[in-house]
Amino acid sequence: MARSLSELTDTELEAQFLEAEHNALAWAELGVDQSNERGSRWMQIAGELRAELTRRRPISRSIARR
Amino acid sequence: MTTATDRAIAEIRQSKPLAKHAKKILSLVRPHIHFTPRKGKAADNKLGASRLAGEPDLPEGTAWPVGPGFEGEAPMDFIAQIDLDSISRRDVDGLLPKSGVLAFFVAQNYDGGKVIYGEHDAIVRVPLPVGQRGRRKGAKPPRWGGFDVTADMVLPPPWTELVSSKNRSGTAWNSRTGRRGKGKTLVELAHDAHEIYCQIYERWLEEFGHAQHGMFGYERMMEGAQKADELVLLRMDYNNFTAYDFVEVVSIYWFITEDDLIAGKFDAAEVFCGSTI
Repeated sequence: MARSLSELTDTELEAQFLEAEHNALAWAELGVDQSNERGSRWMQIAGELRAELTRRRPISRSIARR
Repeated sequence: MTTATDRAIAEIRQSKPLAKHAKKILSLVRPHIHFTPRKGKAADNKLGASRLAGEPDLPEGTAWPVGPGFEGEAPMDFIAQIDLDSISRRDVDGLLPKSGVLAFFVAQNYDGGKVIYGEHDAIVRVPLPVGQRGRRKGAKPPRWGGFDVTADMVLPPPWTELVSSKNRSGTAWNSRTGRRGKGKTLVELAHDAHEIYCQIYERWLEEFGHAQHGMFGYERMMEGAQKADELVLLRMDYNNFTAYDFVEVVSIYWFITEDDLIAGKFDAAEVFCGSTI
């Protein structure tokens, strides 16, 4: 199984959240063939990462609220 | 934050000569699991961890693969190993097994290779056999490197079976298969439109980076080796983080079809070594 979110350091978690959020928007904006589907998957991943960020520490909440 | 890829996509959309084909080109923008090579750490050498070169972890009982060498058969060169668990979140199309390890080898004379899949609970470290390539008993493992992983998007390269010019197609040839002729080109552009696409692609490449180590990207512009229906299972470009010298090659590709990948037929992957273009 994928490395669980709880195993990620705070820095890794924040970086992966920003990466997932960017990819979600980029694929959704592309708007061709499979790109919406890819955008949705990235959005789902960003959601999971955001939930873990919010749970973990208040300092991350400013990023999680974006 | 606007990236090089965002800018290139906007340019493709806004270009009048490309207008007729923009949608087809953009449909070839692919997800890319991007590896950034770095110096190896102790953690990279743990059993089942991702790393560049060093020694592979293979299913118990698997011998170090052998292939064509400069003087008869020789042990293949071990190039990289990927811990699939650590990258599965970035495999947005869900094409790879969610767990396990993939080890990538290339023949000493570059004419062949091997990809070996192993489950984490069934792999063991496999050193190069004693006596091969001067390896002595008790010798330290060869230098390994590590890599950081991110996910991004890549554009299809021009002068390939993905995107090309109508003017070129009659003489096009695949440098891997030796197949000549028009072949299959997914997006065939008029000469002027292709020129515009080349300019956009080259600007993107300057910013994005010429080295594109990773999975599911594309071959280099003008490489002419990737077939239109193939994925790049792994591309490793020149780097100096390992003992592998890349002396005559710039990029090593392991190509596979989507069907073979989904079926887990890693034996079907084919290697191509690209030298200076």
